[in-house]
Amino acid sequence: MRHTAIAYARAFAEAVKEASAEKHREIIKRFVRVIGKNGDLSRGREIVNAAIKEITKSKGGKIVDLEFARELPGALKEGLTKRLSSDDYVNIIPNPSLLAGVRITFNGEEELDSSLKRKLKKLFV
Amino acid sequence: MPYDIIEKLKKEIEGYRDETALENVGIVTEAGDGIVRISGLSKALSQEVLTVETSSGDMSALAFNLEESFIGAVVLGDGKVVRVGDRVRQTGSVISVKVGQELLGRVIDPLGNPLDGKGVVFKNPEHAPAFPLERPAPSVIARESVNIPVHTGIKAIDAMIPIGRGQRELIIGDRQTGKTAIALDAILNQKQDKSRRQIICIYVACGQKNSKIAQFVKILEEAGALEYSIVVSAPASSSAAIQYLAPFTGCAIGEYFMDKGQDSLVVYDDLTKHASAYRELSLLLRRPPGREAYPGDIFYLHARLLERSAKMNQSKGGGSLTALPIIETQLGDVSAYIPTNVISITDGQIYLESSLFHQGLRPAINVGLSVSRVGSSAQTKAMKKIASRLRLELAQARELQAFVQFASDLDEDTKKKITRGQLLTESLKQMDREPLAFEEEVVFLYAAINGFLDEIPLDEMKQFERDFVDYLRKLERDTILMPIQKTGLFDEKTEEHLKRAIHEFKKVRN
Repeated sequence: MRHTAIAYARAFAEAVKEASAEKHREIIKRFVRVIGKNGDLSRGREIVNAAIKEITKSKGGKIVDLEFARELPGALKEGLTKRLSSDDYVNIIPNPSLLAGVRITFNGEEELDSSLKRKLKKLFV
Repeated sequence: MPYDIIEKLKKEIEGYRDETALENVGIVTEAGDGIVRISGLSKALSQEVLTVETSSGDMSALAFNLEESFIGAVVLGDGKVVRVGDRVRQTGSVISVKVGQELLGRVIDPLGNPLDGKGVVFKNPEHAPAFPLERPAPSVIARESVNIPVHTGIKAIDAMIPIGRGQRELIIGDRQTGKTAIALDAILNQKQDKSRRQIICIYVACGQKNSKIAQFVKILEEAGALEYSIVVSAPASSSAAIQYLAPFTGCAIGEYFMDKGQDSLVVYDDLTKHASAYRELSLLLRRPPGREAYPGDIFYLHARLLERSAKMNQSKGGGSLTALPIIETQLGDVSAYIPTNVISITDGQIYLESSLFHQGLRPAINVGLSVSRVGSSAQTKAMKKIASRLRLELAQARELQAFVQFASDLDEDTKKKITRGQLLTESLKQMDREPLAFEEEVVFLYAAINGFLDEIPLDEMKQFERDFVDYLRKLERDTILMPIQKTGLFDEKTEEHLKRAIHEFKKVRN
């Protein structure tokens, strides 16, 4: 039977939650082995993303994608991440197509877009 | 650049207000074969139109599968430009089509875009009402029984398999047996059925060849029938999503006219290809396949489409929506999955047979297997009076015909019945694109059934019919044809006039 990425993610999140911190590394290794045994390595990225989402959700945090038009300096990146909750999973992504400004996405569902790209689109469409 | 354009642009820029706010958004996680999987958008509605922001501009998609962690959507356009990572937004509206009188005479695609090169359909599209493609069928209370005929102009159908306004009559048969020709004749004939309200005809071409659709439109145009017709074109070259939507668009347009109290006729040509398009979409969306790989809701797909055909009661405007779905069978197998489904949904079927077609019987209707469940309540009194004996005599002759092959000598009575059967069969033959007005059908069938044509050789029957109808049009219009057309009755006085006219015509002819 082919398992969905969500099913893998939920099982992994529960295993991590139940185990002590020292065993986490071992659980991750076993998790990868199970995925490989089931022939689902090609869906690895999908499963990992689902697992990140599930673990973040179980901690009460959010997945926050911060997109900037240009690459941010390392210190700024660090500063931004620190200012958000430690339960949140933060991705800082350079996206030149935004032209300028920032776009923030929460849990891949809600978006706050103040990029120049959107402003221009709104003006001309 | 003209000054007013610059001024207009300046005003737009001055009046531009940008308030950044949290918005719902989805992200394409998988794309291919015109299908996209979207994460996010957990509040999307079923059948909602979504906007995919692709690198080549915005593209519409239709939310189909709403699952726990993603949405399966079909792209309404070129699916190749959608990439993984593209953002998707909700529009808040379910898929619908703009409707109005301006659609008459136009060829459109299932999304309502014009295909005939005659420019935009609506001058003020914001004033045109939008009808959803999916709408619940009218309730039992809102309906009334079918009792007004839709004359097809085909003698065999109008006499033996009458179709009523609001009925669903299936046209079924193998390829190249004249299914579309019957639908075409029915549309053409609405021009000459003047005693009743004009029927608005909608032809839905689903999975047909472009050349066939173009020919169909040309015929309608040449016959002056396009002015009360609308063609919804989803040719074989269009995507499965577009083919899937076509019958629903046709139905929504028909409902607009029905809601206005008018009568509409929708031809779905054909639902076999529609079922195939739906199967393709369902398999790509990874819905579980059932019999012949069709999804489990294939029956519901056609049932919910055809249930929207109705005759509304007077308090609801008295309009009607008649459906003529077409199904193509393989080697005459009516017991296949889709044919049996649609047979069970509709109110009867016109069954066309290849063998009859090759014998030269046109239209190649198998009278034994064809039926109209609405029956004679959808016939005018004149036709009912004439045609009641026709089916019985034909059935008797067919039964006896089977014995003729073995018997060497036959008694006079049997011979007579077989000859009459042959004569009646010959009199029901009709070339396509030559629909007869209902009053002309009545008078000719009266002559055939009552033995006035018994001495006419079978090979002269067609010419006799043409001359006889022509004679009546020219000399007996006010005494015979008009009274039948206006009243729908065939009284004794008209009968006497007709008997006299037949004798006089025979004398003139000889």
